[in-house]
Formats: sequence, C-alpha cells, structure tokens
Amino acid sequence: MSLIFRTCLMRLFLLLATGVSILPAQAATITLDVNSLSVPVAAGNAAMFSGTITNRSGVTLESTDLFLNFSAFDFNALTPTQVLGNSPFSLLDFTFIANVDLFTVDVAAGTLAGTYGLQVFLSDVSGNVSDMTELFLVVTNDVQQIPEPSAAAVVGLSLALLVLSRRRSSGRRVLQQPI
Amino acid sequence: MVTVVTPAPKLVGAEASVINTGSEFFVSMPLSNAGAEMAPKVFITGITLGAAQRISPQLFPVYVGQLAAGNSGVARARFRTAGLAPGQRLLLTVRGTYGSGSAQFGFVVNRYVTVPPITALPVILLRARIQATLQSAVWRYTLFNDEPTGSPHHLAALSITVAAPVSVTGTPQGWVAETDNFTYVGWLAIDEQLPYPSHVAPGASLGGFEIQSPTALSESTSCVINAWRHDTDAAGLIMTDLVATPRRAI
Repeated sequence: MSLIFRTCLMRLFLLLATGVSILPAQAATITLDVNSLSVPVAAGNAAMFSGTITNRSGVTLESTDLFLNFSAFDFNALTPTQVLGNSPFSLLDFTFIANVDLFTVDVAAGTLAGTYGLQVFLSDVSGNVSDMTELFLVVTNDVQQIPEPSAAAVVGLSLALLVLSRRRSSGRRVLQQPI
Repeated sequence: MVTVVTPAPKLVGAEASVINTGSEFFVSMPLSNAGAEMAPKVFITGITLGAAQRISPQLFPVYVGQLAAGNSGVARARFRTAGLAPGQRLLLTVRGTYGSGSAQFGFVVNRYVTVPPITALPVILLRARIQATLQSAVWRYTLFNDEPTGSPHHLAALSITVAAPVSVTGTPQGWVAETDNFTYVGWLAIDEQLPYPSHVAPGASLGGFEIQSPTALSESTSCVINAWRHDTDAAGLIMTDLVATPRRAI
C-alpha cells in the first residue's frame, strides 16, 4: 500500500469520524421542566410540583397519554403520586403547557430532617421518554426543640441530690444508734 | 445550564394488556428499564388502579427480577370491576424497590389504562383459590373449590413456587408432598381411581398444607391449582395465582 493511499485513507477515516462526532444528539420528543428543583417541606406534609410539558412527538397528546415515573428515592420517607391527568387538556404537536400540576410527594411523619433526592421523567403512550430530572426535598422537622439544661442547672441539681442523699443517710444512722 | 443527574435506572411501563370479564379486571403491564443503569433485585410493593379494589396479589412484595438496561419484567394484578365502566380511564400505579442491603431505592411507574368492554377470558380458568396464613414462620394453606355444584372439576393438585429454603411440615390425609426444599413444593392427591375420595369437591375446602422456613418474612410467588375431571376421568382446568411464601434473601 502506497504512502499516499494510506494518507488518503487516514484522512477519509478522520473525516468520517469527525462527521459522526458532530452529528447532533437525538432530542427527546417530549420534555418535562419542573418549576422548582428544590422544595422545602415539613415531615408529615406533602409538596406539590408543577411544571412545563413540551410536545414534539408528532401527534396530539391528551393529559391521560402522559405518565410520570419516579426512581432513586428513599421509599421510607417519600411517596410520589401523579396528579397529571386529573385535569384534562390536549397538547398539540409542537406546543407546550406551562404551570401544569404534575405530582405530589408525601413526606412520611417522623422523617429525619435533611435533603432527599428524587428522579422523575415523563413517558407517553407512544413510548417516548423525556430526560431524567433530579429533584430535592429539603425536609424539616416541626418537632419543638427541647433546650439542653445549662451547666449551672446541672451542677445545682447534682448538689441538691447530694444534700438529699446525705440527709437520708444521716437519718438512717440515727435510727441505728443504741438507745 | 448543564444538569448532572445521579445515574439511576429508568423504569417505565409499556402498554398494559387488560381484560374486563364483568366481575374481574385483569391487568398485565410490561415494566422495562429504559435507562443505562442496571436495576438489581426489583420488587413490586404495591399496585393500584384508580380506586378499584384489588383481588390479587393479596400480599406484597412480588419479585420481578434483575432488570439490566433494556430488559423488562411484568406487573400483574386482578381487580374487582365494581364501579368501573367501559371507556373509563384509570391510572395504574406500580410501586416498588430495587437494590439490596442499605442501597435500596424506591420507584413508581404510572400508566393510564382504559376499561375495555366486557369479554370472556381467552381460556376458561378453574374457579378455585388458595388462602394463606403465617404464624411463627409456618405458612398454612387452605384450598377452596369455588366451582358450581355439579361441576366435574375436583381439586387434585397444588404446586407453589418458593424462593427460600423450606421444609414441608403438613400434608392433608390422602395427599402426598414433593419438594426440592428450595424452589418448589407440590402436593398431590394419592387416589388412583374413581371416586377419588381425597379430591376437593366443588363447594368444599381442604386445609393442612404447611411449610416452614428459617425466615419469618413473606413475599408472593406463583401457585397452580389443578383439577381432575370426574366425568371423563381426565385432567381438568387449572388456576394460577400468587400466594404468600417465605421471602427470599436480598
């Protein structure tokens, strides 16, 4: 194989490789944009999530043609529930609907304060799926904080107990003395 | 803005197969992993269909399997049709978990299904059921023959899939048990000719089927009830369902 031929072959390969690499990634035909990605919620309460759905699937989608799917969450703490579809709407191709109620997340009573992650994506009747969106619920505890006793109070209580103990002890000694 | 999402399986439901018999609503939905991450040890922990009353599974979890990227399992359930009308759209929700040990996560898959017109099942199923009770790591089963009086179908065998070590601790008189102690337990009436007195007649029930396991937890696994036709002296109808059995180690 001549050097020129090999060089041409290499250039052709590089050209093809570059051509492939600059092809745009296939865009999702339905998209989901949740309004708030991080929501504060007290344990025992629920958070409502709303957002925007864009339809580029090529067909009109009814509200009950759209399904929400959740994963990667702490099932002892969070219970997500789809509400999308409760209120009917039609979404023509190449249109979007904003501020639509999507789902609620119930936070179990007694859940420890902290940040809990949850992933959600949208699917439709034709099998199209949106990209995954990661959300965070910042759980707070509404339980009243019991203040720690101050050091002085602890010392005072100890002294009082000591005095009480000594008095009882001396009382017992009196009883044991011979008459 | 670039949003970085923690890698996780992408479990999604496909179009569900539904049958409305007028008294029961059968639903079967493929559950697939559309993501790039493996979903290990997938269990279903709940299935709801709007406000419909679920008949089966009576108990969760139900094991689906290991769902690698592109793989799928199935979520099946039966509901009562009271309050359901053909054409009605109901939200089918499947809840579950994946992972093991301290790395277990929840998932929820939703899909709207339409209640179809009333049709007969493509196959005639035996009208029978099994009831399970659990006490001190002993699972006790009772068979019920719900066939109408005069039906030729008498219950003659029961087999249960298990996924944990088991031993058979109870067998009704006139029946014999067979098991490999790990994957299945079967009971068979030992009668060899008519009138097969140990078979369970229509309208009757039979208890005394017992298994024991080191675990005290349950999951639902499949079971099959077989009938024997007393009119033609040949194999009869069958019924498949899910029943509580010892839970597998995860």
